[in-house]
Amino acid sequence: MIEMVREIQIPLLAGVLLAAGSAKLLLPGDERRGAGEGRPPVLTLYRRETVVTLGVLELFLGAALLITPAPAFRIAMGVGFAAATWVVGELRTRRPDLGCGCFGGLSTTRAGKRAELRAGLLTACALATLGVPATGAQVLGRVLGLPVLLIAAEVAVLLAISPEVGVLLARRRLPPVPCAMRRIPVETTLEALYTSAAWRERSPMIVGTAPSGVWREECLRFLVFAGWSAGMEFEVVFAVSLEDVRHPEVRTALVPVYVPAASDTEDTGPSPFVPVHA
Amino acid sequence: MSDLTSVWPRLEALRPGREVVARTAPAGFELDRVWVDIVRVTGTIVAQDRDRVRVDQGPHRPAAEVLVPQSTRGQVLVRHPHFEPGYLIDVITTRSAEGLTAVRPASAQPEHRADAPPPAPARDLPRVMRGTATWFSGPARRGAAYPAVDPEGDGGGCTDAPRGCAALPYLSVGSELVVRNECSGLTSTAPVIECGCVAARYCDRCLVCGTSPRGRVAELTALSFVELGGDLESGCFNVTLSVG
Repeated sequence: MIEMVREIQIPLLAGVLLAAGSAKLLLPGDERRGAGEGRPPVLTLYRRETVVTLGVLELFLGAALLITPAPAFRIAMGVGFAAATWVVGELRTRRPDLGCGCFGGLSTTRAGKRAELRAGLLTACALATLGVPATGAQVLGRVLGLPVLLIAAEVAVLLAISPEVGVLLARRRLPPVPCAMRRIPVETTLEALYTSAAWRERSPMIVGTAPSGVWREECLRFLVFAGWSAGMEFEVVFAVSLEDVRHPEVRTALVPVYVPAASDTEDTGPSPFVPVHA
Repeated sequence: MSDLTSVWPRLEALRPGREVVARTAPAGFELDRVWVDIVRVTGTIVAQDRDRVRVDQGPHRPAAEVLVPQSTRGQVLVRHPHFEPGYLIDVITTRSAEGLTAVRPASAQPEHRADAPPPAPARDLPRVMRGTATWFSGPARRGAAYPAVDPEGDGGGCTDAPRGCAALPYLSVGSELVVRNECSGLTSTAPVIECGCVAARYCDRCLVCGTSPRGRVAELTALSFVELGGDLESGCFNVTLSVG
């Protein structure tokens, strides 16, 4: 009986890993989309490449559990779930404003005690599989039989090629959060700016690549760079729209640096009365 | 001052050396209200003994210790039934020989735990935001602490500030807010001078004139608050807010 319980954990955990990996790849989630309480999953704070790597690792581990009994994969899985339990615990106490991101963009509710309990339970299940000689596929074949597996595989293929599923998902999707309310990292804005036509046009006069000032007004992010042209010092100001973070509309202006007179003790920032060359 | 000038908490408190905030009457140069040594304490209770509480007022303001005397304890406890570490507190106090002494609660609804995330804000952003404006004991100038200051770049926001329960656009320190007091009809501008990460934790309503939507949309300095016709001891007024 105990052996059977240990065996069935293998396909179950493989399924969890495959679902979690697929969700991270297909539904990355961002501040624009979410369900329920709509908290951004913690993974949105990281680069997309990191999230993709994590998703691919989970898919690989899930597939490996199905086809090989090698203990290395079981140990890796146990370590992975234990790490996830720790991360969710930390999120629960330190960042109640974030979702756990366990299932990518679907995990947008606050990382709470239930998520922590789930990760802990999965760690225990993973430890129970250590030393079981069967592979996940063998267990599935034994428990369900070939006809059930074939039906499940056929249904999965049919669902994958049915456009109605996409329509159904789109209907359930919530409207996007307005860009003025979205938290957007400066790095994302900088990456988009460096590939824009406005940057290419102004870059010959820009000194360095790091902005000297960055601030935000609703849906616009302003970035100021030091510039030098025809013997004059300028501030090159870019206004980057945050509506489309990957391919934003960028506007630019040149503001001559205002040098205050010795007697002038007022604000030394850019003066609104100095002509602007847009 | 005239016969119509009222002094908070009482006329005898008005003595040389005391700090006052004064408001002129809508027409003329006479003073309408004068507040003597009024201090607001807003934040999270971090320690409590028999009749004193220590309050963490966030990263921008100093921690405060408040005496809650027996005379006002009942009134304060009605709005703060969980008077223990970890819970939010918001009280109007006055300076006295014993330090800051609580006079009355500054919020209309019982406060929750500081780490309880407020309900997620609405997903649509109106051009004009509605909510409650409170005040804080800060610099003697016009200005506001705004709950949604961008934590990225030089915006001036706090990275660990929760998203408030009012739907607000991200702005930066230096952005200009146009605040209209819905109770008095007065409008004024106030620059964002601080991240309102403490205000973002509150999800209460103002009941001064009608009921405001949930959420503090701005914490004004005492100067901006009285300039808009607010009464410091009542703690809030209903506002519409737009970005200048």
